[in-house]
Order: sequence, then C-alpha cells, then structure tokens
Amino acid sequence: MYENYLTLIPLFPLLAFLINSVLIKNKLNNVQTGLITFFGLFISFILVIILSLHVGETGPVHVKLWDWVGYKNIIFDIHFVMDELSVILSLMVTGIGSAIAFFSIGYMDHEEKIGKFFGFFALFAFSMLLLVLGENFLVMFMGWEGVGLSSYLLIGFWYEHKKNGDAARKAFIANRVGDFGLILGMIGYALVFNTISFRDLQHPDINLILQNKELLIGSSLFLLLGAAGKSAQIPLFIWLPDAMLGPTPVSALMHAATMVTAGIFLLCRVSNVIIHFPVVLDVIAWVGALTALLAALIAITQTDIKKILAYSTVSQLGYMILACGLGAFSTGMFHVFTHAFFKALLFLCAASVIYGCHHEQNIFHMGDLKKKMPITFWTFLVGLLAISGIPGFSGFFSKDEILSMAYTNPNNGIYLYSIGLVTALLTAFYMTRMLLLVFIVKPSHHEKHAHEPHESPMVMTIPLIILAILSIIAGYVGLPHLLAGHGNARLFQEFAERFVAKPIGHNILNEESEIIMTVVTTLLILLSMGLAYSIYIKNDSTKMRDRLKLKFHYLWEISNNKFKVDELYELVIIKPLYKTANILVDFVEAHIINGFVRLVAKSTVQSGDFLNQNKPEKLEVGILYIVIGLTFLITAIFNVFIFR
Amino acid sequence: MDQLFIIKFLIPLLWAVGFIFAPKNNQRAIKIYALLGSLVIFAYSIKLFIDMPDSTVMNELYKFSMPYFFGITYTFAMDGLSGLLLLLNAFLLIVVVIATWDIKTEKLKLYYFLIYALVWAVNGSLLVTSLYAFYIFWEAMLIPLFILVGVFGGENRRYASIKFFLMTASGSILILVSMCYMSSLAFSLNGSYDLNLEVIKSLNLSFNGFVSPQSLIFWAFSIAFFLKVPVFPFHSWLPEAHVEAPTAGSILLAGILLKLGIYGLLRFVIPFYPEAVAANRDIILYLGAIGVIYGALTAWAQSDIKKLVAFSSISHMGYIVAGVFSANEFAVKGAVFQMIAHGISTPGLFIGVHYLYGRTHTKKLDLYGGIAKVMPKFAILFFIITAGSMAVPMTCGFVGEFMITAGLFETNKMVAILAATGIILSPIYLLKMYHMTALGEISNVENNSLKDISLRETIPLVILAILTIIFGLYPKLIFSLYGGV
Repeated sequence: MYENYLTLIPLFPLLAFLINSVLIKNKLNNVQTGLITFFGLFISFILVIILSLHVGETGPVHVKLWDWVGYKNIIFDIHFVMDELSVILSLMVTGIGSAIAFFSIGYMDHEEKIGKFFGFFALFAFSMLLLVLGENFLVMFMGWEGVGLSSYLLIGFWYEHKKNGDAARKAFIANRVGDFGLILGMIGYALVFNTISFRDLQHPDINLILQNKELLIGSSLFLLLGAAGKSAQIPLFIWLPDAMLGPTPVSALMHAATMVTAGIFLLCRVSNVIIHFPVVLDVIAWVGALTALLAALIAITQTDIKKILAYSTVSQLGYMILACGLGAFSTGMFHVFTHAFFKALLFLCAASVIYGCHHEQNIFHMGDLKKKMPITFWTFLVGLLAISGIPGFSGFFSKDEILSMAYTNPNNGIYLYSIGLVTALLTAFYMTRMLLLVFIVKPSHHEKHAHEPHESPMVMTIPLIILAILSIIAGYVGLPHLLAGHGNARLFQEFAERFVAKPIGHNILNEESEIIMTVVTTLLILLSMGLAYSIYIKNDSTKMRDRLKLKFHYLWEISNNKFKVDELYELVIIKPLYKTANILVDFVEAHIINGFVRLVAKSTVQSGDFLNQNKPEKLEVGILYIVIGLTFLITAIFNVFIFR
Repeated sequence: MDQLFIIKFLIPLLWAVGFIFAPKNNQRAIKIYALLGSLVIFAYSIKLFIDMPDSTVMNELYKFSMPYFFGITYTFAMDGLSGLLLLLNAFLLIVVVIATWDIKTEKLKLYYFLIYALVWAVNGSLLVTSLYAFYIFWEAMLIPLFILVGVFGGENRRYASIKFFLMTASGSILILVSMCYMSSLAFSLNGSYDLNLEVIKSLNLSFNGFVSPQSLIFWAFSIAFFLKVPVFPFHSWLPEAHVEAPTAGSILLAGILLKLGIYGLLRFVIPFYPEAVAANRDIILYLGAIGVIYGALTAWAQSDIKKLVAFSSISHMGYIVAGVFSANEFAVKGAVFQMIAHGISTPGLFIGVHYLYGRTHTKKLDLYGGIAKVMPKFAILFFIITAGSMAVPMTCGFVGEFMITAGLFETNKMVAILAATGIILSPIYLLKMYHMTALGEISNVENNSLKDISLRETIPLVILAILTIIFGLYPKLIFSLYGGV
C-alpha cells in the first residue's frame, strides 16, 4: 500500500501539469487553474505525511518502476524511495509548495497565460519530487535537470522581454555547468562502487574508498561543482539574482525554499563517502563560507527588494554548504529545513508588497507600509527575526548550531567561525535595513507612489500567516542539548542522521562557553540591527547615509556593483569563447578546413592545366609517356595484389 | 528463406519507378501516392523486424550467388542494428512526405522519385552483408541526394552538391582500393573473390605498425566512413550541403545518411581490425571529442538557423564516433541509441526550420524573434525537440549522451571530460537559436501576421516530440529492439 502511495506522490503534480498545460489550456478561469495545481500538490502533501509517519516508525519505503538499462552489475532503473532525507525535502516541497500555489492564485490574478504558469509550477513540483524521491543518481539527475528546466521556463515566463529570456538562459547554462560536474561525478562514483543506488552509498565499502582515493576525490569535487550550480555557490552563484525576473511566488518556491537546496541534498546523499576525505570537506566548507560572506556583502547595498532576498538566499545557502563542509550534514539539512519556511515567508511578503505597491520593487520607493499592510508587516517581522537568528525563532537554532560546529572544528574552525559570524551580523543589518525602508521610513516627497498601496487579499495573507507560524516553531524540532535536556534534543538532526553521516572530529563545547557564545552572538546581532536603525531611521538619516556613502565610497561601489563578477565572467570566459567560436568559423573552418579541400581541387585542376599546356608536340613522345605510365601502374598492381 | 524477399526489397524502387508514370498535372494524387508508399515501406520494415528471430546475430534473409561471376555471393541479412536503422529510415520517409507536403515545384515526380530511390539505396546498404554489394548501394546513395540538392536546392546548390559528391566519393575510392586488395587476398585464401563478413573476418590482416596491411585498410575504411559521418576535420561538405539542400534532403541526410557512416564503422571496421583499432583508438576518441566542442562552438557563431543546426550535427556525431570507438559495451549501446535520438531530434529541428522558412522566407536568425507570440503551438513543439537535442533528461537525447560519457570515462577519462563539455555547450547554441527565433519581442514587423502551424504541419512535429519523450523515459524500447552488436 505504501509503495502505491509513493508512486502516486509525484504523479499528482504531473497530472496537474498535464491538465493545465496540455489538456485544457486556458479554458478555465484563473482560480480554477490555480486550484488544480494547488490540489495536485496538496494531495501529494497528504500522501507524504502518511508516508512520513510510516517511515519514521519502520524505515524507508521503496518502489521500483522500470529498468532503464543495465551495465555490468550496475542497474539503472526508475526507482523511488521515501527515506529519512526524502521525507524532509518532500514535506517541504509539497507543503510549502501548496501554500505558495494557493498564494499564487491571488498574486497572478491578472495574468493571461495562467494555464502555463500553473502548468510549469506543477512541472516543477513533479521534477523536484523526482529529485528528492529518486533512489539512485539517475532518477535524481532527471529531477535535477527537470527542476532546472522548469526554473528556466518560469524565469522566462514573461518571455516577451528580452532580459527575462536572457536571465532564463543564463540560469540554464550556469546550471548546466553544474550538471556537467554532477554527471562526471556520478559516473566516477558508479565506476568505483559499481552502483548508483543511494542505499548502497549509505554504507560504502571502506576498502573501495581507500583503493580509489584519487578518483573519488576528483568525483566528489565534480559533485561539489554540481551542488554549486544548483545551490548558487561560488563560482556559479551569478544566475540566482537574475532569476528574480520570474514571477515572485516562483522565486519563493524554487529560488529560495526548495530547488536551490538540492545541492545540499546531493552532498547529504553522498555524505557517507565524502566524510572520508578531509580535503573535499575543506573545499566544501570554504566554498560555503566565502559564498555566504560575499553574498551578504553584496546584499547590503542593493535596492531591489527581490535582489536583496536573492543574495540573502545565496548567503544562507552558503551557510548550509559550510555546515556540510564541517561534516555536520544533519545540521546543514536542519538549516535547509528552517530556512525554507522563513525564506518562503520573506519572499511571499515581498510578493505581497510588490502586489500592494503595483509592481514597484525598489525599496527606496516604498516606505511607511506598516499601517497600510499590517499583516504583511508583522509576518515579515517574524521572517526577519528568524533569518537574523534571534533566539526563539527557527533560524536561531540552525544557525547557532552551524556556528558552534564551525567554532569547534579543529581544522581552520576559527576562520570559518569568524566568517560565519560576520555574515550573520551583515544579514541582520541588511534585513533590518530592508524592513525599515519598506515598512517604517516615511517616503520623502519625490518618491511618492503613483497609486495608494493596499493590503493583499486573504488568499495571499493566509499563507503568510501559516508560514510565519512555521517560521517560529520549525526550529523546535532540533533543539540544542542546552535547552532541551538530553532526552529530546536534536530530534531533527538525529532523524536525518539515520541516513547522512554523523559529524566527526569536533571538540565538545562545555555548557558555559556555549551559553556565552550564544549570548555574545545575540548581542552582536542586536547591535547590528541597532546600527541599521541608527543609519536609516533617525532624523538626520539621509544625511548620515550620504556621509557614510562618501566615506566608504569605494567599498560601497564594489558592493553595489556585485563585485563585478558578471562582468568578470563576461570578460574572461564568455567573450573569449565567443571570439574563439568566431575564429573557428571565419578562419579555421573557412581557410584551413575548407582551404584544404579547395587546395586538393585546385591542384587537380592545375596539374591538368599544366599537362595540357606542356603536352608533347610529337605523337611518339606522347605514346612513350603513356607506355611509361602504364608500366608503372601495372608493376604497382602486380606488386601489391599478385606477388605479395 | 523467403523467396519473395527480393520483391519486397525492391518495393521502394518499384514505387519510385511508379512516379515516372504518374499523371503530371495531378499533384495531389502524386502526393497521396507518395504517402501511401511511405506507409507501405514502414509496414514492411516493421514486418522484417518482427520476423527476425534473434536481433543479436546476423539473420540471413536471402542469398544471391553468382558462381559464374568469380564466385561472388550477395547475402542479405539483418540484425538489431540494421533493423533499427531500417525502421528509422522508413519512419523518416513518412515524416518527410508529411512535413514537405506543401512543396511547390514543377518537377514533383522527380522529387519523389529521388527520395524513394534514396530510401531504397539506404535500405540496400543496411541489408547487404557482402562488401561488394554494400559498396554498390553505398555509392548509389550519393546519386539521388546529389541530384536532390543540385535540382531542388538553394542558390548555391551547384557548389554544395558537387562538393558533397566529390568529398564522399573520394572516400569511396579508398573503399574501392581496399576492396580490391582484400578480394585478391580472399582469392588466394579461399579460391573465390567473395567478400562476406565471414570471409573478411578470416583474412586476418597482419598488423605491425602504421604501414601494414591492417593499418592501411583500417584507415582507408575509416576515413571513407568519417567523411560520411562526418568526423572533424572531414566535415566541410556538411554545412553547405545542409544549407542548400531542400528540407527533405536535410532530413534524410541528417536523420539517416550520416548514421550510415557509423553503421559502416560498426559493421565493416571495428570487428575486423582489432589491433589497428586499439592502436588508433586514442586519436579517434580525441577527434570525436574535438568534434563535439568544435561543432558546438561553430554552431554558436552561426547567424543562419539551418547552418546552426547543421553544425550541431557535427557536435552530436562527435559523441557517437567517440562512443563506437570506446571499446566499451555501454558506450557502444549508448552510441546506437544516440543515432536514433539524433535521427529524431535533428529532423525535428530541420522541420522547424522548414516551417519558419516557408513563412518568413529567411533563415537569418536576427530576422526572427518573438515568434512564440504568434505561433504558440509551433513554439512549444519546437521547444520539446530542442530540449531533446540538448539532452535534457527525460528526453531521448540524454540517454545516449549519458551512456557514451559513462563508457568513455572508463576508457579514457580525459576524452570523457572533453566530450562532456558538450553538456554545457549544447544549451549555449541551441538556446541561442530558440531565443532568437521564439522569444523576445517581435522585432520584425512582418512576423506579426505569421500563421501558426496547421494540423498537417503539426503531425510530424507531434510525433517526433512524443517519441522524444517516450524514448527518454523508456529507453529500453530501443535496447530491446537492438540487442547488441
């Protein structure tokens, strides 16, 4: 019975996709179309809950559908599993997914191509479920590219504008760079372990690992490239901020809560192998830490509400990758879990604000929305406190654990910890800045809105409230020992650790220093928020802002220009590559490859001409030539074919 | 043995001859006759396939011996590989007839005659196992396509068709010379000039270094087939032939004729010259990998949509060549799958180009743009096929590329990594193509009034799109037909 449920889970979103985009294109009104996708996800959600309870009690559920192809003893098959890791992700995908689908009914109410929107939405949910329910690399990869494709389709949803199409293409190609890594990585793993099944990678043969160290390290780094592509890490993070050109609910679901966490999911899937390679872990940790810091530094000067949230997502994803690199995969998953709620919440709040302000996205053009949009404001505040890591809110528990994992890591721990802490402070700063500019500050005269902002309808505020509640309580499933007593501490992490590798090699922190660390961190975060308050809200704030801007002009420029990473790639990779392509066409193809063909043709013609011009004047000489030629030919033939 | 086999085998040719007697003025009747013929040929290909007892070995269909002619026998036989290509060939004929139904020409009879003659020649080269007969059909394939391009092609058709003919024919000369050598060798061994697969196997050419019979014959055959595939750097005829060829020519050329080169490699080269294959493996693998990158980059730099698709073929065929030479069962299987996948996606792209050209009378990419708005149905189908060509999982393109990469990784990691860059490069040029045609705003005012594709035009694209997805989800369909080499 449970096997059948498992098969049905991805099927309902697929059905919604088919109904909305193939069968009854645009024949229903917007609400009906939205409800089809909503119910497609919601039914799956219920099935996921039923299965989760079962998995929690008795262990993973498997269902194998059909074989793809076999090679030696590696079986490539379409095979689903609901195990501890899938439970976490699929709950998020279907649960948050249905909330956001519901929200979209309100947000997209004026959209014409609504069937397409909800169709792609359901296609995304289907692909994401393939990704998380896949029992082996193959199914996961199908989902992996499927989400990339639906992300591409949704970023380019308003394809009439060229820049949307360009952003979609950029996202797809950046993701493809990651896929390149993932394919090679998974092939490397398959060749070493003779399997592509995650079940077998959960308890890998240690001898194989030791024998194939180099190949595995290389493959793991390729997998990291894959993770960096999907989870927007250095060097591939550039696509995510541009992806914000898609509809905002989509950004909430795909580019914040679920899809972008696939990289962490991948690392967790292979965690029991990479835990054996400290080198790989170090690389992962540094990639994560540096991405977290870089994105936070960019976020503090951005003005587009969605861009800020996008960079904040990149930054938080950096935290999760950092956790994986510290060997604390379950902690990384925990942050994936809490982040999904508060980031989806923040994005939906942004969507609500954008909707209320008639598609204004610049935070400096908003302001004073607290009274006009009270529900959005209060829920946004919850999201803010959660992401900043204020004790009591979900973000606190996961972020605190990552920081303490970094602190206790004997290897470079203190550097990683410092980077993590600075990022946390920056996060608190730019989130507070955003809240103040959007909701509190009185807009100056010339920045007044054309239309009066208004609170969003119920269909949008209900999901906000639900997500706000979850953003508070989600953290309590993974309490630290300190708070919970030793009995029911780290429930979430221990559940995840049934699959992922357990952290190794950490020093244990005593309770006192843990308390001190938490208190100090919290105080620093509050201080950082206060700083934002003093810069943006005090009476002379505009002046002060200008003074600061002048003083740190250079730094401000770098941050506001996003460290010019896009320009760098353009200059170093894309332009030279395109130049090469043009050289290949204009020179190599035209003059060398075709030139050789022409040379052959020309020399034939010219030798004919030459003979023609120099033909012997006397017949006898001509006949002599013929005889000499024939003699040569016949001798050659005899030599080759007869007298070998 | 089926005594009527020869009659069945001649059906395409007989049908082609029928066009000569068709009434000249009734174009519709000619087209219906052509459609019927394609269905008949498809049905008989399926029948041949079903009747085949075991797809993993050569199943003899008919033997045609000529004792008075130097003891040569023409054997007709098929296995899973030739069967698959036979089906692809017949299937593409249907697609061609439907997709180019709107062709307007005085010489309609000639047009269909050439297409059917071409299809027949392809069938012939797939079904015979005697080297002489293969050579005859191999040459026979050139002529109809040569005339098809030369008569029905674009502005520069003369240059393109002659270049195509001379380059591929120069490869044939290499086969001819090798064949002469092998036949004399066979005579000294068996007292007969017969060159069946078993005879070729029994020749056991000696191998010691580059200048030895095995090596020379290996290269002669290989280069002849490389010219057809075409493998970098033997490809220069392909883009021009594609650009000038009428759509039917492009579809058949990309869809099936290029695969005949691979088929030749699998049938007449790789099994028989093991030492030479092993000694030259790395060179050819690198040629394949370079072809993947070279084809992709050159495709990216094109401004003509048909040329872009043509160069993309070079990239895809690079994968396949690397796959068949990888000495890895998995990659060879993947290469065979990729042949079918490419035979679905590239004809689809060419049909798309045909519809666009028929409406806008241009192939310049920058004169399109925003077509999705006026031709939504077309845009969706074209996208699915593009996705198949860029090897998105759950489409047919992915299976082959993945298997080839995996197999290559086992043989030669460097080549695998190089070839895998195709994963990154293929969306670069294909999305460039798609975005410049379908997305964005309508930049060219004339495109505002384009009509979406009609039902007749939709049919081939829908069939190809559905196959793209079915083969992607359930590749076993192909593998169970194929069996093995």
